[in-house]
Amino acid sequence: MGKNFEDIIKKAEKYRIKYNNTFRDKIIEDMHQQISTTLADVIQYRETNDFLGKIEKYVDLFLTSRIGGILVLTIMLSIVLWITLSGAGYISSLLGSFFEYIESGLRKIFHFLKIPELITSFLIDVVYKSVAIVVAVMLPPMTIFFPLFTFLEDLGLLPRIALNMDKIFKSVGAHGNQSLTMMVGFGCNAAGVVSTRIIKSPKERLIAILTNNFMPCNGRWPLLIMISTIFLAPLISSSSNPLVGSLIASTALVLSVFVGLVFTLIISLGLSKFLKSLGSFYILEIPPFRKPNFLRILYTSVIDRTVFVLARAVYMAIPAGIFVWTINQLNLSQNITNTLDPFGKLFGLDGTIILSYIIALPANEIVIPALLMLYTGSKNFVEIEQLQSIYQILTVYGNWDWKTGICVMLFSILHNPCTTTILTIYKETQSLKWTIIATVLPLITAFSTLFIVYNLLLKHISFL
Amino acid sequence: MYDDIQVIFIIFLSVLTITFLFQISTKLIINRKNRLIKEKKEDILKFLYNQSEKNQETNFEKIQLFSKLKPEKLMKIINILLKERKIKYDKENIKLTSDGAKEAQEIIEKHRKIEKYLFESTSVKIEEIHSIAEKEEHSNNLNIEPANTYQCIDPHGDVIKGQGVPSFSILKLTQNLDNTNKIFKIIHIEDEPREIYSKIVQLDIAPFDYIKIKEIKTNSIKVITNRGQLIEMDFILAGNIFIVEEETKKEDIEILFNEIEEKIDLISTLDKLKINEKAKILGISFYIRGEEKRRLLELGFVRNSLVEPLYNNMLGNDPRVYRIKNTNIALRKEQAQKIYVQKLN
Repeated sequence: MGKNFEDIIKKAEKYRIKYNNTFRDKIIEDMHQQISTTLADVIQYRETNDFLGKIEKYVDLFLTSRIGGILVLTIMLSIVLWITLSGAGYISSLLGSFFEYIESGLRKIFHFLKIPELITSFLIDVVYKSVAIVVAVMLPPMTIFFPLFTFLEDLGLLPRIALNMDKIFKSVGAHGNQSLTMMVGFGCNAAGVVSTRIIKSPKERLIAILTNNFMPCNGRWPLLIMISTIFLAPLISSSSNPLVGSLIASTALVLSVFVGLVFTLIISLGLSKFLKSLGSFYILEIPPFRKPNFLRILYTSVIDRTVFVLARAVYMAIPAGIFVWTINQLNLSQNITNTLDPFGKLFGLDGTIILSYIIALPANEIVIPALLMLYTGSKNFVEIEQLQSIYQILTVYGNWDWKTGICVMLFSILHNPCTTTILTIYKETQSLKWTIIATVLPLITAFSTLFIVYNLLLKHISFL
Repeated sequence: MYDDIQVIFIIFLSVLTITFLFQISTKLIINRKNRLIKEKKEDILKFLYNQSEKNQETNFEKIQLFSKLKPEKLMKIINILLKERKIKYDKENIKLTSDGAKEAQEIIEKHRKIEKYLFESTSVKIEEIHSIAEKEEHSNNLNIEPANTYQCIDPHGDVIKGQGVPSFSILKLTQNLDNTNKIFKIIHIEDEPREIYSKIVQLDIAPFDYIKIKEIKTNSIKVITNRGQLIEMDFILAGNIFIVEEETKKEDIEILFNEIEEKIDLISTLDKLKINEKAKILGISFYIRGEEKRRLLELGFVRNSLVEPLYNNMLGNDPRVYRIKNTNIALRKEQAQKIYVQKLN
């Protein structure tokens, strides 16, 4: 049997050499011929010249024209982001109060069962609370963003956008589909990393995975919005005119996303020079427009994206909770911030900011609560709604000014991915090497950029 | 101030580190030296093997010219090879023993395997493949995925293992100048020197294409290929292309060429088609490779499929959307340039 098999292989090799390896082409050619003659009798296609085909063609022509392409892209993105951000805060606070209600119930039960204080505090303050916070901040934006995005995907709009964007990405050695994965990254970087599966060529896919982090995810938007509103807007408009203020705030926001975009392109260019050992090609299928299937949308967005990202987030939140609890139990936070302070000062940040970013490793959403917790010296995360009181805390306890604001914004965009994303990158690449690179590369980028920007530029500006 | 024990401890530690560092550095230097010797040895074996394939005698000076080593160093390496019984003297000439020939064959096989791998599963430029393989063939621990090496012909048309076309029937393109209007098959393209090879690649001439010599000018030669390319090239390029006369299915190929020559004005590449201009695919280039080629074939970019450019994108005509087999596929310009079509009128 074994010998027979070897003989067959040898024979096949002989034929391969005789026919110069053109076997495969010939087989596929014949297969296509056969299939197309068979299908011609059985299947009716939507022809390009019947009514629906014509409509589709005109829509396509509009979407790929210069005006149409830009219009559709900007309108679509801003509507999706606006709905997500405005809706998420509301659901988030609802969820928060719901979890608080359950927490008080749990406390009562623990008290009734006469469980020791230390265990109660560990189970509730660490395990339950960190999970509750992560769920409350991560779930709402995802449940809004992903169905909207999946809807657009199902409609067939996104491949056209990828087609329009390809020229930009080609110039840095990446794939046009990366624009889509970056848009998913606006919702959640972990989901963005998963969505790179739509890029079939290994080199471009790895580039998309490694640079996805430079797109601010839902967890980072609130911080960016807050800083641009309370630190950067008053800088020019002196808060007399609310309209001008919000205009400046949104410009700052757009600029910060633009910084992320520029870094994505630069890093992609660098990576594409180094990743020659991987295959690379561009083929994009443009599907016909279809009627969205709502059940499918719900399934993909809720099960495939939300639940699965959330599960990983919860899984990573518990160790972080233990970390915060230990710090607070041992009263270490002051010491740690003091040691980190000189390091942070190099980059226009301070020790507290760096520590709160370490605490917020499992989810970028908890950067603000962690910051407030550390500045006010509280034992738990602090959630404040009013921007004015946040401003007060940051300027009084933290000595923040607009320079710190810009530095924190830059750091927020360029810093390392959250642990959920890191875990996802490991699952997707199956390689420890690329996971480490995906973590360290943004961190190096963030610190070096901040160092240059702060020391060479911001430090010397003193007009205000 | 330090007390005595501390001083002794520090001295001890520093001595320890220095010896450690010294050991590592000597090891590295020796390793490097051994590696260099191994590379030179293997290069010389390969050179001797190629010379014997060409039925040429090789003496010491020829080897020295090839290896660019100082005579005393070359003597050392030749002595090592003599001791290992891989080469022997035949009067003043140097010849391979059967052991040496076997090793040379193994190295050449490894070289071709690496080239095949680089061609099929990486995005390394085709011109760079040879020089990378030249370096990597000397390394001992090579991990090439077996799935990519099962194909037994390397990107220059050579059979990786075993015998291909017998070497006496292979001719240079320039050796056939009296044979205009005769059809030949390209069997091998020389990958050295790199500049000439990259020019050949740019012209999109590949192994296993059929070519017909149309016209011979004073400095150049005009050929037509089985995908309808009309190519004019220098004799330097032509001298690096090796051809054989095709024995099997001669009539089919002649019919194909007759068809192509009739419609030569209608033949172009996919990127040159205008929007909504229908065409029939003649074939895709050999230099579309690996996974990309497989995808294109799957999608139906095969001989005789109908194709039509549909629309450009927002920023220009790169990439462009084509309709093939009732689906819309976007391709970049570089890809479309390598797909040959014949317009339908």
